[in-house]
Amino acid sequence: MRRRAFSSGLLDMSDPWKVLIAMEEFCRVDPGLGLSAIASMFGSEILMLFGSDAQRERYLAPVMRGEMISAVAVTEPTGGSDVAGARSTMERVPGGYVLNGEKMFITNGTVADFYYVLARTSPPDSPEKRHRGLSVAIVERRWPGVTATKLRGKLGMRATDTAEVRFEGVRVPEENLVGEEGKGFYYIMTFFNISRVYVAAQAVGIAQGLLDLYSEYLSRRYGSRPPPEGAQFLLAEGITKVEAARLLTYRAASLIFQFRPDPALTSMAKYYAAEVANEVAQGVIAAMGEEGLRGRAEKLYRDAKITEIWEGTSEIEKLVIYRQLTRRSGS
Amino acid sequence: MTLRDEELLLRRLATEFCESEVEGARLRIEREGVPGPLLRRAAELGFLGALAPPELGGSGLDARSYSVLLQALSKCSTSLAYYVFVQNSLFIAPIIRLGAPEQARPLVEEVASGRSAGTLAQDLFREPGNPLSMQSSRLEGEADFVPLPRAAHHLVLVRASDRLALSGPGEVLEEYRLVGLRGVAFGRVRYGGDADVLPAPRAVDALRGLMEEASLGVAAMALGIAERAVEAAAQYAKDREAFNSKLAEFQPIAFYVAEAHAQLRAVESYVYSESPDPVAAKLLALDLARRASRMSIQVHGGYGYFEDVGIERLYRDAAALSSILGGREADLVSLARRILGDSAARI
Ligand SMILES: Cc1cc2nc3c(=O)[nH]c(=O)nc-3n(C[C@H](O)[C@H](O)[C@H](O)COP(=O)(O)OP(=O)(O)OC[C@H]3O[C@@H](n4cnc5c(N)ncnc54)[C@H](O)[C@@H]3O)c2cc1C
Repeated sequence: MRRRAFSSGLLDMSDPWKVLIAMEEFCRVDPGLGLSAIASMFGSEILMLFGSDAQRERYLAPVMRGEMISAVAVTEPTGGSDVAGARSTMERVPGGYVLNGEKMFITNGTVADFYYVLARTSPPDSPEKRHRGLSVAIVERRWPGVTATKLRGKLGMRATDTAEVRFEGVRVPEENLVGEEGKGFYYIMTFFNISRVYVAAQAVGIAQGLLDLYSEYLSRRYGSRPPPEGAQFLLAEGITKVEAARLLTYRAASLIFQFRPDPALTSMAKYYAAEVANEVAQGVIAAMGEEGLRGRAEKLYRDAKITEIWEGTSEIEKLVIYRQLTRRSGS
Repeated sequence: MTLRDEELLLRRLATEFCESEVEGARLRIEREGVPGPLLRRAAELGFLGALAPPELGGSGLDARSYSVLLQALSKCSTSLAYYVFVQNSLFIAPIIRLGAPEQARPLVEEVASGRSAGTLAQDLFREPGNPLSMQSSRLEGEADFVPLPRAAHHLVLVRASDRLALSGPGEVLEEYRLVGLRGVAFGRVRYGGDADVLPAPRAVDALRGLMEEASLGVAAMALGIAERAVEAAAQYAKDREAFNSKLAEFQPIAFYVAEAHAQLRAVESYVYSESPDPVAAKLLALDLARRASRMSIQVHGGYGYFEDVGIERLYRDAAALSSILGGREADLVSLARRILGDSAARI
């Protein structure tokens, strides 16, 4: 399915709008499966923006043909929101580095061919400058010292693979360092400022999918009669919010795709779309009666929750929005 | 909320049972259903016959004590609480209220002792699908969303004759799990055999009334979900660090917990007040359970998304409870009509 998504041109990174719309539409129907296809190229923007030609040739090209799977390994057991608090280390040795550390909740963890790993290459000068001294490296899953353990029993997105990944004395050759040493935090944040718009699209798709199911339910139940106004309002309010979230998402995306990203807008889109997806999910599941408790509606209800968590929780998005606003107004 | 001594005692009994015997089996219950030995213990403790009178081997609990029990069980395993609820609110209470004493007695004794299970097949809250019919002691037709479809004793609402029938197990055409309450199987059952009729006339109305009373039990289970969600979020916020501070130090997280805590105490006071409206209680408690469980996952971050941590199930159980015995709309309609008259909420 993943290869077909690529060969059919649905997943074509040279046209990011296509990918964004594919994400939205996949999630409208089946977020878990859709995600597993698209997330096979998770992290690619890191190499597009900061990688060397050789790295792109070796790692990015096969991913774009659907032949390799990538993963982003940032979160650690001790923290995901505080990216600069990463405790994994890459120690310099002749010809490269030695990587030690533990990563948590890594999508594609046990199936990826390689990970984009964030680890500390030098201690911070001071606690305020923790975001310095972090670096990103491409680490292959089959290298000695890498162990990935699948995490089971997720609330939703069950078709995606999530794992804990351990790195014990892993030799990383010099040429697998992405960009410059010490700039990893900046690379990862730049990546998140792009990837978050795709999460917003996931949330829009999920919310739309739930409203689709709710209107199908209403037609089954009421036939050609109009449903009671309570139901009409639930649908009207839901679709209004979904449309607002979609516009915000497309606006953030259009700036990103013109290489003028606005991180505040991207975070607004992600936070708001996730909020809408979960609000709609809670409203629809409680309104569909017994029918909502089985099948696609309950699945979307479970899938919706992740959009408030991954790639920056809603709380973190709000902090980003505030920081960007104050930066802009110069205070 | 001030509980009476015997209610406090009951809560302690249920909580100790949960901590020592249920907590460890939690994931197994979700995957395979409530294990037999646990059911036998629940029977010994008087939980399976909570609403049955003592002379039939039950505990003879009043509505408030029954709520205390369900809340305490639900806090640990809403699946187990729902099993107890099915035995009591969906089988024992209807058969005692609507059955002839000689019909009710042996079955209530059996169910209270855990020797066999009872269930109720009803379609009060949906458009009837395949209508059931009852002709000279022969029950025919299908019912869907029957909890514990393999139970030995089925009370079956037959709308056509406005009666409750008492049947043995039918043929289970399909067995499935819902979004939550995964430890309790549901199913589509085909009946086509001899059945007894319960003598009470106007069974639809009578059962509606009983389901309305049972709404208080649903409210109690929803409170159990909310209580667990809030307590777990509070504990996690005190333990977990981000950006070198405890989560509890961040205003948004602290406010989530504080707000949910305040709402929990308010709804709880209502549920355990002198004469709560069961439907209003259910509505409030379920809204809270859905919100609080979402909040608790959020506070737990990525960990909240995984079943071994025990938080995501609250979110699923809240959804299942929200629609399993009449959804939010049905509850609002019934409440509105009591306040505004029969034509309210028509359009
Ligand atoms: C299914 C799944 C897939 C994932 N895939 C990946 C992946 O591929 N790669 C990867 O690197 N990570 C991945 N993650 C991890 C995810 O990005 C993190 O879970 C997320 O960033 C939150 O981190 P945490 O779980 O450590 O929560 P924490 O950072 O511990 O946060 C806990 C709670 O505290 C809040 N909080 C934290 N700091 C503050 C603050 N300053 N102010 C207010 N509130 C705050 C958070 O918002 C959250 O509500 C995945 C997670 C899941 C569940």
